[in-house]
Amino acid sequence: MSVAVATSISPPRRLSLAMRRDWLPALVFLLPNLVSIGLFTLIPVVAGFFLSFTSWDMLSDPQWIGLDNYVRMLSDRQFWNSLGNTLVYTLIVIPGGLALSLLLALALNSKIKGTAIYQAIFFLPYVSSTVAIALVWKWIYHPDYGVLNSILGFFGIAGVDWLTNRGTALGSVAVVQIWQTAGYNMVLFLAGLRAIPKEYYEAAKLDGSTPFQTFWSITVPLLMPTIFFVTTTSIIASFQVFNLIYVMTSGGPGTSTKVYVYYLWESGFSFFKMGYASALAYVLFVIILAVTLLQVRFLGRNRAMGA
Amino acid sequence: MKTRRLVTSILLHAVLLLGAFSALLPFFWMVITSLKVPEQMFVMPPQWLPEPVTFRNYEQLFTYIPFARQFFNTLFVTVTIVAGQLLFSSMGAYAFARLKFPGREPLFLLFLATLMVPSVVTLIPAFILVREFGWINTYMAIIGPYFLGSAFATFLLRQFMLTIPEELEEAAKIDGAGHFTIFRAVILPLVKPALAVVGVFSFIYFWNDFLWPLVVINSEAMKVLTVGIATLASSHYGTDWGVLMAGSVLTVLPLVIVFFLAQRQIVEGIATTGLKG
Amino acid sequence: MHRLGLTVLAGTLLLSSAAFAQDSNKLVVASFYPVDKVAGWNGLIEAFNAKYPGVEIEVQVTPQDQYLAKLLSQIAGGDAPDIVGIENSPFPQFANRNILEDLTPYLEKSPGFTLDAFFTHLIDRYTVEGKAYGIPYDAQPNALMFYNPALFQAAGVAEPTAEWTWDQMREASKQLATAGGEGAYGLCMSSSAKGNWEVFLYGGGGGYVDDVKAPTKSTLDTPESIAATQYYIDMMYTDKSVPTSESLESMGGADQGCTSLFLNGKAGMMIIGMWKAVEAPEKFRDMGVKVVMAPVKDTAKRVYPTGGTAYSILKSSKNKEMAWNFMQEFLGQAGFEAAYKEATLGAIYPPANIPAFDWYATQKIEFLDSLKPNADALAYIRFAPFMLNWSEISSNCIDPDLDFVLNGTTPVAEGLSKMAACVNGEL
Repeated sequence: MSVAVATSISPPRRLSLAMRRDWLPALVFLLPNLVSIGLFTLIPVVAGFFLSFTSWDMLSDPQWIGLDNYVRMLSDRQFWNSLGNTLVYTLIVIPGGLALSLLLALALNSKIKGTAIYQAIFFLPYVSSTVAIALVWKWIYHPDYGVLNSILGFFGIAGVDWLTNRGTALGSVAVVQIWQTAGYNMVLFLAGLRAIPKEYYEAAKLDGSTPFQTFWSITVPLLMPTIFFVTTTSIIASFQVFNLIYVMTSGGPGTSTKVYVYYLWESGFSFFKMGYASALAYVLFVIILAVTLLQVRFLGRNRAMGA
Repeated sequence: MKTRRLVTSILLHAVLLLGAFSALLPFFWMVITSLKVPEQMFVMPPQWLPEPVTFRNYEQLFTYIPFARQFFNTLFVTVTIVAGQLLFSSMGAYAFARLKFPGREPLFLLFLATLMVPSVVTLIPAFILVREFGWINTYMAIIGPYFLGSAFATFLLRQFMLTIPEELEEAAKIDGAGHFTIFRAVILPLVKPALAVVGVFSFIYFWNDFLWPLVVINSEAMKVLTVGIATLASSHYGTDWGVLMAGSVLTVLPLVIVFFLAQRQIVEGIATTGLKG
Repeated sequence: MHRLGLTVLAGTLLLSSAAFAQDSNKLVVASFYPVDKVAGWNGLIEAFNAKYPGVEIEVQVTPQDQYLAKLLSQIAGGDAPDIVGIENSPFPQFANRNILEDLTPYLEKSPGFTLDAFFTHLIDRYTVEGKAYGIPYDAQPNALMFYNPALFQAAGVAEPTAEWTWDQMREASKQLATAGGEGAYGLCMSSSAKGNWEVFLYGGGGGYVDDVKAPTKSTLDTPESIAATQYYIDMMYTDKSVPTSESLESMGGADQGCTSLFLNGKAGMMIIGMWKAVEAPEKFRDMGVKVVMAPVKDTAKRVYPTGGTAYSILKSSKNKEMAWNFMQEFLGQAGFEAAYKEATLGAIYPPANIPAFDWYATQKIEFLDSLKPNADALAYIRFAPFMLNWSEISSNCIDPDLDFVLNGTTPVAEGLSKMAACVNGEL
């Protein structure tokens, strides 16, 4: 039962008696959060929503223009281009990132030597400066001196100018993000894995399950809350990617790595169009929300199948 | 069977070592770049050892910005925020994970939704609020908005609390314990590893936070490290990479230490709490 | 419904403009010049306080990349500084929103600090309909050709003069590249990919628009623009004596890549502004770097791109007179003297104020042979089109295709015509 509750974003409804009994403690427990998130996040978010219906240069008062910003987006080449880039980027980062970090966590969760030191080292890219990471990876990707092309050359494969070629630049940056956040997600997965009671595995062993069966019937369902957390935050992070692109490619070559939030920042603080930037932000918000809700449904169904 | 295990083990270590090497590289790079003279930094192929070794970048850091002061600022605001978040977000998470109240699900979705709005558009409204409170250029400007918990921390802690079998609380409930007792005596000890994770992640996040402290802090004496270093490294026509790297090395070290200290908690936490399902 | 929304919004925003009673003896200056060498804030404030005791000066230094984000938040949030530094490219936005104080009356009553005391071409950028909304700080055209005399000697090439044309430069570049061997180039430019292209575009008689102050049509598709762009491409791809954008990019970025090449003796000539010398004065001295005005296609028709910053007083300032006093010190000789005192080898950004520039020219500078090319080039500078949305037009019309044009994927004439059509559509 606890597993079922855990995997669902919406635990099953209980008696209204419980609801009535719990609302006061709930209020007390939630009050600090409500103050903090309500005041400092929700109010700005609502203000931003209203701004999305205005034309606002931040230097003079905002002018109400109704839905104009949203209508303009339809014919804005840069909007579609950056949205497309972001979707491709996310489609590379999410599956790649989840798989890699889960694999790392599983590897480190087995009883191999040096787990602690590996874990610490894999976490380093997450705390290192993005600029240093960008520089090192620019070198790895370097068409003439880079490690990557040297390795390809060893196998007789012709080198590629990874970051300055329109076809490969976006994917190359996505790989860096996967690598950079793998350690971070790995820590989350590890914590989740360690929380699974060993008795479940012992029972599975007695039943004669293969490791593969155990993984799908015990590890994955019990890890669902963590998987949900990691996927949701990764989706948000890769939809909102900015820094890495900024230091690695500045949106180039051409506009092939100009991602959504890059364009949003530019619209606001380079083009002085904060009203339009706000509208862009809310379109992105709706997209991320939709993806998250889809994911809730998907994970929910998955639970039903696994249970 | 034994050889197969040995081969697997060797392969596993080979892959892990390769990963470890690539993870160490940028860190190593930061250190050597911080010791290089400017013209040595962008040579292709890269030079692995600084020649000559220079401490100019570190000297600049200590001469031109009040480094000790900015280090203290960063430490103070980060530790305060993390302490607040651990307490208040775990309370919020408990409410979402264990209490039944009307509107719980929409409220939780609302919390989640706030994470999905890019911060560029909330920057100015949030600035206005903080200014209304008279917090500009004070520690409160950085601490205030986050001290009472964040959607991220609440979300993460809730997910971990959901993993804990509810049976563990039954005994306490039968003994007539109230929610505060259950929260303090049963739940908190069980989510220790999660608290370690949230603590470390929040610490890293707020230690590295840049745009918000940059906007609400004006004076050099009140700046946090990330902003102080970026200010020094930025000139009108480009970035002084050596200074930036020297600053990055000194900024990252505390994070590495925090992570090393906390990882025992993360790794071993559950095993020692006697969670037997 | 609109009403309701606007009221909530106005509520949040207006709350903010409820002016705080400001300390009348405090001036807030927003800048992106860091605390060290270039601006010399501490010395300046000391000198200012000796003249005007009891005035507190708070300098808010923000990194360039986030400067506008912070400044706009402050202005929108009702916590605006008194004096603000504004770069030339976003300046039209500020000048057109009626938030900058017209400084013309102040200039008229300040003897020794009139408009004549500044390089005309710089003042022009910050003047709209006869009203000066900003006073320029630095004079740094992207118009200098730094060269490494040792490499010229080694290659047996005569050193450049101010009268050089492109063809002489190209010949020298080829010879230097050959003499330098593997991985060496003759010439590189140390700006962004777009900035580097501009050097050729302007230098060959081309440009973005017909009239920078009142553009009516794009000139990107003129024969001059096309020929100039082609010349640049030929130097990169036919002669291989100039590094391509791609190869600079993989060396850490367009500007660091070229700087590295030049400082390591892998490129004999570098076209850029004074700021590059100010960033590495010791190295410039050790290499004995010399400087001339950058060659152009036809020396009778010189045009150079330029950067630069102006300082303005916001209308919202409660302390405009004192702000003006500070501007006179900061942008005049006193400010640059303070900067010079803290500078390495006397390397500071050259002043836009002519008396200050002349004073600087008489000082000991050890990192360069002459300041004269910098002063001479000021007569030929051209800013970006003075339009509210130029940066957006440039991003919409030029960025998407520029890399394809410069690396030969798109034929030059076709690519530039497409850009010109796009710019014309926006005008």
